[in-house]
Amino acid sequence: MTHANTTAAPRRYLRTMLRATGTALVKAFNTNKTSWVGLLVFLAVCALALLAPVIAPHDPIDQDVFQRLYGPSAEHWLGTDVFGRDILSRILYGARISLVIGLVSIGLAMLIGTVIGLVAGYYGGRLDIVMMQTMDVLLAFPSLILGLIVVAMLGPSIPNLIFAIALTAIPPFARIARAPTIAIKDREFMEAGRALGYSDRRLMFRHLLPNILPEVLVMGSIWIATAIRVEASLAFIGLGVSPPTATWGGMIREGFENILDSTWLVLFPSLAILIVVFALNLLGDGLRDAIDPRLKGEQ
Amino acid sequence: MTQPVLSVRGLTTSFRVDGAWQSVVRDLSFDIAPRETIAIVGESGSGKSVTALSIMRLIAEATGRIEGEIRLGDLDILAASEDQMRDIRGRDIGMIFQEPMTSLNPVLTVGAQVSEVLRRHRGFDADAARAETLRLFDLVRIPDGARRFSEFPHTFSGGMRQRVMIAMALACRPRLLLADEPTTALDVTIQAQILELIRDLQTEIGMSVMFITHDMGVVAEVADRVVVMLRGDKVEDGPASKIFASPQHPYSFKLLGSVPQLGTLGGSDMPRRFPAFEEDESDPRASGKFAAEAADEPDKRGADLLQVENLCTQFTMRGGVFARPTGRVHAVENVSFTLRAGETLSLVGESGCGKSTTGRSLLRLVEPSSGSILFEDQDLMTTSRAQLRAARRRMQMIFQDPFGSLNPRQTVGAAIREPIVVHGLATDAAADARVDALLDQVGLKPEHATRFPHEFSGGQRQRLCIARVLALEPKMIIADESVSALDVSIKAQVINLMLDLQRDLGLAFLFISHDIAVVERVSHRIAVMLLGEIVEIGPRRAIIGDARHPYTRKLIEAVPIPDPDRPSRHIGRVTDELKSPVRPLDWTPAQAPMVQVGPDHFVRES
Amino acid sequence: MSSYILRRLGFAVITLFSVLTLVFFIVRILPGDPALVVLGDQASQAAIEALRARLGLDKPLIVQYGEFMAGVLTGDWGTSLVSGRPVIGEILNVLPATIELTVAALILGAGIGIPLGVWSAVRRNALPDYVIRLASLLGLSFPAFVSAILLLLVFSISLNWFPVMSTGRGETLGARLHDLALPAINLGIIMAAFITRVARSAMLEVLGQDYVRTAKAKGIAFATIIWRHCLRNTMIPVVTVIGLYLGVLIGNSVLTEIVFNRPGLGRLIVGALNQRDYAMLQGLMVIYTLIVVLVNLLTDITYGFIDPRVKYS
Repeated sequence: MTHANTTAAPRRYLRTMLRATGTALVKAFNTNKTSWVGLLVFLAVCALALLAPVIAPHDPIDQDVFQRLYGPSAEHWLGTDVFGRDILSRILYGARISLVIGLVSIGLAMLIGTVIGLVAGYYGGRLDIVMMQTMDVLLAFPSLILGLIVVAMLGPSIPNLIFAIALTAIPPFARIARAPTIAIKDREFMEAGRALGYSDRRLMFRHLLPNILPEVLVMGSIWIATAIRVEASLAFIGLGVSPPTATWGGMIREGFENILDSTWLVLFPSLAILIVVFALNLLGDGLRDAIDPRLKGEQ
Repeated sequence: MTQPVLSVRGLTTSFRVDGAWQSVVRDLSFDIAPRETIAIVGESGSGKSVTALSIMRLIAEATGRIEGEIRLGDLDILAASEDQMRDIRGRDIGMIFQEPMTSLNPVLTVGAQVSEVLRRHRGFDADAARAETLRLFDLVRIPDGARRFSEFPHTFSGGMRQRVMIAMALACRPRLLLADEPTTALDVTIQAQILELIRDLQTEIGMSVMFITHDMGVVAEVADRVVVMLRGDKVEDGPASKIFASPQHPYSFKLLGSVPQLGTLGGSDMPRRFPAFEEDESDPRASGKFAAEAADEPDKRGADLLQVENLCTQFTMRGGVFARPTGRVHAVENVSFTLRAGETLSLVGESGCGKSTTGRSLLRLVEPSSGSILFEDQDLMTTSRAQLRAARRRMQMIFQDPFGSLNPRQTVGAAIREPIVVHGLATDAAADARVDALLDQVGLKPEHATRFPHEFSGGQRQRLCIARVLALEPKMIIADESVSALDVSIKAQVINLMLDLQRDLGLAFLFISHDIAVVERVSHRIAVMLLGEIVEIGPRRAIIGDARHPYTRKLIEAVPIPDPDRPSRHIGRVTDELKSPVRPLDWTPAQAPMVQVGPDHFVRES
Repeated sequence: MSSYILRRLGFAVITLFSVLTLVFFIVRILPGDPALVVLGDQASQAAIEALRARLGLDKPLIVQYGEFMAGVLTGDWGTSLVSGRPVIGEILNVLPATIELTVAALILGAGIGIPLGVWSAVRRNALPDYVIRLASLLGLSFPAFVSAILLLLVFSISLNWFPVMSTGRGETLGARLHDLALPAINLGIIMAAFITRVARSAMLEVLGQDYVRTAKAKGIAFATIIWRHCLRNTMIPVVTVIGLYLGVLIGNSVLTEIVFNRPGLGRLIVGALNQRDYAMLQGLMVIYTLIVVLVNLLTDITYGFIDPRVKYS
């Protein structure tokens, strides 16, 4: 490579990669309108979570013993919990925890898993067998149980939850990235690249990666939904971010004890989880249908 | 005139694309008389397959619309109920498809799939259906039918699967057989057998055949009458001999004129361009004319550029519980040849003969097991990785599928620019100018550089691939089936481009192809491969005109000749299968020596 | 075929061995001395030493590993730190309840999911397809404990049709089913939502294949094409995915057992976590590993029966 190009190359690379991935995703969005609904709802939830300190009517942690277990009212739109805390404010703040854990853990898993899948699929042979066998072993173990044990051992903090959930999501991403890698690596343009004297690194990251990235990103949105579900489940079992921090799963856990007389304690956080997870699933599922090459070609 | 078996009047088939109806076949009319074979010919996108599906009414109703009139005898197909149609399909009209590999259900035995038709339409019980299926297997010459009855499709070769498809289509002795490119995916010797089989069975059953193909040689072999289609319209029809002798429509004229015909170069030793077709490119319907037959290319051959000696490439097959080696594919076995600068050597043979592996082994895209590859006096087998990459720059490769060879996420400008940058051949600014020059050299425009591969046609994509390898200023190009996937008129243009480049740049070509008619046009010398070995090698004129090895002769005889007046050949009731180069682990090649039979002409003793 | 089964069996043994090794090291690599975790910060040094000795933690790692593996093979999985009874006994005590639940869920999930998915694919882009797709996507969006709580609220608390607590016991078959119904429905519906989607996309892919066109050209009735030609091909990916779904199913069964207060591995594991019963946790991980490996082996073998191409590869 000549010196003139070494500095311009990364920027040019990033630009073409983003452009190509962007084009593919925009096309997918346009063929499947329900994805837009999912995206808009998800963005709205993100905005609410970001603005929680500004728009929340009450402090999420302040207890008020005189206002325990109030049903929905003008003062407390969604009622109060057993400590007299405002449910709406706790849901808004809880969204921050869910989103941070979901986005960061899946971002990490996507990064590591994709590289593992790409490298294993590209080189094939023994390396592939060893790497994917390891992934399969991890995949074989029920992820909730693995999460439970890791969090129980490390202690329930946001970084530990992120670590636990990312750990369980790496193997699926390795699989997601590997399948199209194997399909593409023997396509003629890869062989042409080898014949043209391109290095393996160039072929993997400049030619292969842009081709599999849309698929990986789309699966990412579905896995963020899964991560949010797992986080809530862990919190429900009692392994979420420690109280009194508001988490959706934790709110349901506390509300479950008073389920016979105060159903709203359980209902509203449940609804919050459902809305976010459903929106993400709607988003990812529509896109996946649109970019799935297997579903093309039929009339 | 007797009543036609099938009568099509004003057939228009449209599909809904993005909310708007687009017609794929327009106002098509033709008749098929009893026992007649009619060939529908045209290039890709001409609507010939859609015509067949329309006759079967297999167009999905939600997205497709069939208008006009289709009569099968007295029956109006487009007015028939779906139940009536189901009775007609498989009973009155049989159909075979292009892809024998995917047209059979992988989870049902072939016997069950053939019996199914008999039980559906002829009311046979299981035993009777089995007996009849075995008889059909015998009829289509599937050896050992009783055993193969209960086997699954994946154990059958392509040719054998196509025989199963034929047995299925003919099980109810239909009045009409629709054959949609039935031999396109098959090797030429297998194609000859299948064509003969269809012809024999046609006589026996007394049915009519509608044969869809893009191969004018096949048309000449089978057709009584021909319908020529172009982008959904019929441009001409008539008796085959008349169409071939004096095509009326300019497009038929061009189509026939572009067909390489084996044996036309006769006494010449040099390659020769296809006669250029002079026309208004925007309108293929307008008339044009072929330039006079071009002169032979000048002989610009130089010193030896590539010397291959005893090249072997083997793959180990593994199986069993512990993935132990169970056999070895001797893909390339003791192959030796030389290639001079500015020369074209063609490697011909059928699928699995090792010609592609030979090409890939030279570049070490697959790792050869032994032998030496001397390129520009440097042994590529012992060279370092860096030296190998430098050598690869001087020896380049273009592939069969021009679309697959271009990264779909990269503009073509970036694709052509990349090798220049990677090998540091030019500065940033100079690289852009070089891309423009290369596009111009292959007959494209500089403004094409910002487009993506899917915006180009097949022929243009292959030009782009050629531009990309030219960027590296190679001395030699390995062209692996590089024109096989292209339509016939485009094929001629790309070949002409390659010949121009050879003349202007002194390029050497290793031309790998199964299409001997094309090979004759481009080659100085030809090497014939069988089961990984070269069985005959020599000057083109000697190989085509004076083949010595029995396999070479068989190969050449199997090539369909686009001349309907030539008496049809009879190869007899042959069911050859291509042999497999898979050998047991302890197999040692017992290679017969090559003997010289003429100047520069060697043949393996057999 | 037998060579295929043998090979899968070989893989199963290797997987089992590696996961067990993983389990062993997860428990030991993670920061925190189990003895300290069990006894708490205030425990005396002597008590900690005693517990370490009892757990075998004072021995070299390799010896511990050997004893662990030997224990797994001989059925000696240690004794519960809480109850003092053998771990394997406690597990086997509740295992039938969990198996009963998951098998019922599997039957429901496949029984509902496969027909719905196939129907949805056949009626692609028609009303049933949209309804089924949206419904299944919604089903997938429920965390198992949320759906369980909703079922509990509606059918046990409001309508009083089913018991609030599921005992996992019951004298008659009817009583047992009544007891099992809500938890199984909860798991089954979520699984059905998942299988519907897999079956739909598998069926869509099959419908686009050349051999379906061939079958149509033979004049076979559409219902027969679906039944004879498509269903078995559709089952190939579905079976694989059901095997992969097991991990999710186990996770969901834990949540379901907690909500319905039903005995089973789920409650055992939560109890062990709360009480820091480290021996019990290890035992539970071993049993989960065994179940997962066994089920994967079963899916692989089923797969071999469905797809004739497997036998020869």
